[in-house]
Amino acid sequence: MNDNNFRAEVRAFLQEELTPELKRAGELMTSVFADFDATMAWHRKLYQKGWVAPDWPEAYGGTGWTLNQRYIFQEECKLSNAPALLPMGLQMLGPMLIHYGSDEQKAHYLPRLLSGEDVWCQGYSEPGAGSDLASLSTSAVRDGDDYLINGSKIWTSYAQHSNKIFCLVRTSKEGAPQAGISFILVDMDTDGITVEPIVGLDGRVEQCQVFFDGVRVPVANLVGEENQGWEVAKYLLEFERGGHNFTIDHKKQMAKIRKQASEEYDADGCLWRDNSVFNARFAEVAVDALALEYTELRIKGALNAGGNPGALSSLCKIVGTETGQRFNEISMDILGPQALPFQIAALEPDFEGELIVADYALTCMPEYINNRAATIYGGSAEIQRDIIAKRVLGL
Amino acid sequence: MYIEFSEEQRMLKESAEKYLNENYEFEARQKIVKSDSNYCSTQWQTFADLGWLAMTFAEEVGGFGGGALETMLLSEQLGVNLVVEPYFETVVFGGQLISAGASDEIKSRYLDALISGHCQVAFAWSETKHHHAMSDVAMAASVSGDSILLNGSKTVVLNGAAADVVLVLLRTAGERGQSDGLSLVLVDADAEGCVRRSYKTYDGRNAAEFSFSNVNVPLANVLGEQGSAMELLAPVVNRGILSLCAEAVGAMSALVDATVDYTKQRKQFGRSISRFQVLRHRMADMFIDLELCRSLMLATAWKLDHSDADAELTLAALKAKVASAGKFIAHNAIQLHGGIGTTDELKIGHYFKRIAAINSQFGSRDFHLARFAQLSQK
Repeated sequence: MNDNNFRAEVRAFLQEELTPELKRAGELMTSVFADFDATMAWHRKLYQKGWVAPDWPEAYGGTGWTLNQRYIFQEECKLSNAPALLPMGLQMLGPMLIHYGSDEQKAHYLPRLLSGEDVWCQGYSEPGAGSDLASLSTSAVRDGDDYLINGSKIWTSYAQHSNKIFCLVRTSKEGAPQAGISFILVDMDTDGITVEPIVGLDGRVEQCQVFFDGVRVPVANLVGEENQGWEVAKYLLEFERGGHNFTIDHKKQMAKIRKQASEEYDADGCLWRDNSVFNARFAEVAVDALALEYTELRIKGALNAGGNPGALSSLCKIVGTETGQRFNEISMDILGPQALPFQIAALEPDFEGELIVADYALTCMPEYINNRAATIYGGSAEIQRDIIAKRVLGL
Repeated sequence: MYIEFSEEQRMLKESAEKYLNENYEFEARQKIVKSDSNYCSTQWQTFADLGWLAMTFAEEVGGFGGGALETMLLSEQLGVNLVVEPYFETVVFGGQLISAGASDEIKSRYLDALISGHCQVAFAWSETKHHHAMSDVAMAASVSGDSILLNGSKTVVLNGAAADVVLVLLRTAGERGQSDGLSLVLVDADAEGCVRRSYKTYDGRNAAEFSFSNVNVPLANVLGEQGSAMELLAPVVNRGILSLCAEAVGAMSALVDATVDYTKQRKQFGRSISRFQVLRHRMADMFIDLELCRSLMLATAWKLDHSDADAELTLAALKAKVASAGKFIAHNAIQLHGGIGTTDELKIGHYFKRIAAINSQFGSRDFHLARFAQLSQK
């Protein structure tokens, strides 16, 4: 099937299945996450269609699409405001289990992940281990056929909605810090686990802290060998960093700014789109977005030819997130005081009351606020620069 | 859009890299710059023998039919080796104008010589008190019968000192500020009444001031349509900007490499200064800017070759990005080299000067950002 026919097929599906409520949830996204119920409703629809995990190998439930087709699918979903699916299971754990999991683990967990029966969260960071992830201290001590886990994990997105968590735990204190880490799968309803929500700057809860107090987990839940968790984690981080396509996000942001600039007025009473200072500033960021778009195409070309994106994925993470943040700032400056009303209920897809400000103003401040995290999660911008210095420049 | 280089293109890149790395080292380059000649004629002859001068001309006129992508590949390598020979002025600009606009007779007289390395061209358009808007040209010429009479002067004509022929942009109708009414006239540099004052530029190349007093030229020397020079110029300017940007990308990549090497060797406070995170991150940022420029450069070349609707938008983005990235990389290359980076002895500062010269031609960053903004609103 050629790409145009494929795009038409995707569009037809979206037209049919993406209900106004689901679209609304997508429009109201102010971070990488959408409303949880809408997200899972959309997840199940895609599962029914067989399209929930396009990036997986076909044998495990993938679609067998070409790289181009996967890109088109992603683009069409985002541009039509479909709520984003949760990446922790589909993008991170799935590929990792396919690579490192035992046959039993694959047979048990992958179908449940695909259907949406299991919702996974990621237990990596700890209060004392952020960028220096290898210094983590949550311990798993062998006790018969179980491990006893003690410690806590933080910045655990959507832990409040998850029934499973994959964790990095310390199983040895010998040797280098990286050498004593293991990767383990845990049921969230096991005794001894408590979840504390963390309220974000936008007043809502996306992140949690998860506490483990003598949590008993079967040894069979280990993925890979004991003390080889670091290798597994590194493989997974590549998916977290490289898999994202920033261009589509930037295009959405630019469309929003253009709409704002064609409806809002500057201090001289002119539309912002006729203000030359605004235009120059917007153009400067848009040039970087365009340069990133072609960099992403270069990576896609390399992948198509069987190559590896290498450290260019660190470059994309830095430029993609920083450019997105600069677009947020431009939106804030256009809207001025209209970005200030704190109407948190209106950010729920089922809100039926009266909006205080225009739709595009409603999400502006929370997007700006929440996007500060983009240069911190998934390896901070500073860690990415370290990776470029070390791996690309050989410093 | 997916760029895959052909076998011929890969060979062009490799041969340019190999020849220049072996025969155009920095010391050799400085000898040429400091000599009395405008460029090295032996090098130029070799460029002709290697087929570089012919590369981008149509096969009918003795070329190999290369396009924007070939121009880009060669220009980038010329930037890496800081080549001062006037490839841009004579081939990318002058040669393409003659090829696109001249009569068969003029083509056979000048293009054959150009491709074999025996004709230098300059494009004379700048006048005092204006920047990069060609529509600002005021110098007028009068047409009578089948000849055209030139009076006036042109400033900072790049490759003007070496030029055998000068392509003069002048007005045969209309007024300063108008795009219509401009004509491009081919003039022999030693025609009677044509006087030049030659000099070198800060980036080691040659230029001249030209004055024309009653210079009489046959009307057949008008390239393209009389009064419609901008139509002829537009695609050549686009290709020219790509070429300059590719040269800048080559210079930037050489600066990143040299800075990485230097900071590894340079020891202060008992260790290599490359161990300091503030410098490591600075170099990571230099690398990022370089690669962003490279992505825009590749996309622009592809789009120009495919006459893509977005070609001019991408070109404006490229020139604007090269301006800011070029400065960022060059400034920081000097900063990280410290004092030695500010001297004539090291090649670092010479890349800096070439990048500054490129930024001074065919539109500043602000000009191209404004153009990008304007084209994006369409």
